[in-house]
Amino acid sequence: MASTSNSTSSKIITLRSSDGEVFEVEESVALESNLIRRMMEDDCANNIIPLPNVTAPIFYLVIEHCKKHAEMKDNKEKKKELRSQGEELLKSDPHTYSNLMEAVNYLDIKSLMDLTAQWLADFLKGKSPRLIRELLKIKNDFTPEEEAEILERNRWAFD
Amino acid sequence: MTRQEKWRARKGVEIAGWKRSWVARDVGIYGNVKRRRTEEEDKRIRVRTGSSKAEEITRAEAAAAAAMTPHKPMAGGNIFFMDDKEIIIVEKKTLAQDTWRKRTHGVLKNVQWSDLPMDLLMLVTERLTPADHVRMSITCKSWQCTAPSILFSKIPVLLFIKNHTSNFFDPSSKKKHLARLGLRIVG
Repeated sequence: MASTSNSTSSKIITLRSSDGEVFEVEESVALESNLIRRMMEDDCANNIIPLPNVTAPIFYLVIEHCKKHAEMKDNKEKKKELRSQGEELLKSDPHTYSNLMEAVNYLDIKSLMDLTAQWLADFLKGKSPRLIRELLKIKNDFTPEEEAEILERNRWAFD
Repeated sequence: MTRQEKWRARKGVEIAGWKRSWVARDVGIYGNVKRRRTEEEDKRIRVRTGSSKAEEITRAEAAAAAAMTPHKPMAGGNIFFMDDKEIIIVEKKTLAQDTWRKRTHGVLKNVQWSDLPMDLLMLVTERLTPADHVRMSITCKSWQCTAPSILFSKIPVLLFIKNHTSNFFDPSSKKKHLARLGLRIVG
């Protein structure tokens, strides 16, 4: 809010999350999302833009990440900060992280899609399926026989 | 009476040809189309959004639905086309429809890891080494469909024959592995 002086020229866009909360976002930030961009191009966004698939807490996270990402382009420290934040979230609250990924995918924000995928990939590196399940709280839906068979078939990956 | 006409009679819809459908305002926006929105519901929406023109909002919402389609071919479910003010909804059953329904019926509250769409998982898997990819893909059933095939992996692997068995060399881990390709090498 401190930067009102230089952002007066940019347009403010109003967005409404699925649980009815209204967000006011600068145009430059909102246009990171290809979904919102397309809606603006189609000229049906002169009022409040509804985002029926995103809840308020998740949308808040997305905006934060968008802003940081815009700042980070020429700032290596910011890049590190954002990265450690993402990893922190992945460790402490994997459920929110999956929601974030889905929301970013729905809003079609290319840069964040790549970032979140990269963090998850880094996170998965060198971990066993059992550890991944435990950390991300994924339910194991294989029967013991199926699992044994798959493990046997892919034994090379566990050498 | 044809099947289509029967359907129309049952639903009480007057449409000429299958391409014409209900106007966006009349369609319960993202879900399956079961009934028209009542006057009262219309009013409630108008009050909730604080707009005197309910139509503007529904148009925006309709466009949101339309904008969703082009990059969501894998999500399956209903397909929306934008045709001036009209939306055509084609029912298409796919494997992912359950997930789709969860997502389209109101709030996206509980996306589990296993619900993530395939294209999103692809973004992750293309950043992994073959061994990591295999380990990730066997954590649960819905991730199993991302399982890599050695023959089509992004990182090239070297296949070779040794002692009558097929082997491959994974350059990312610099290790040789026994490949189970289902090929029998007759020697």
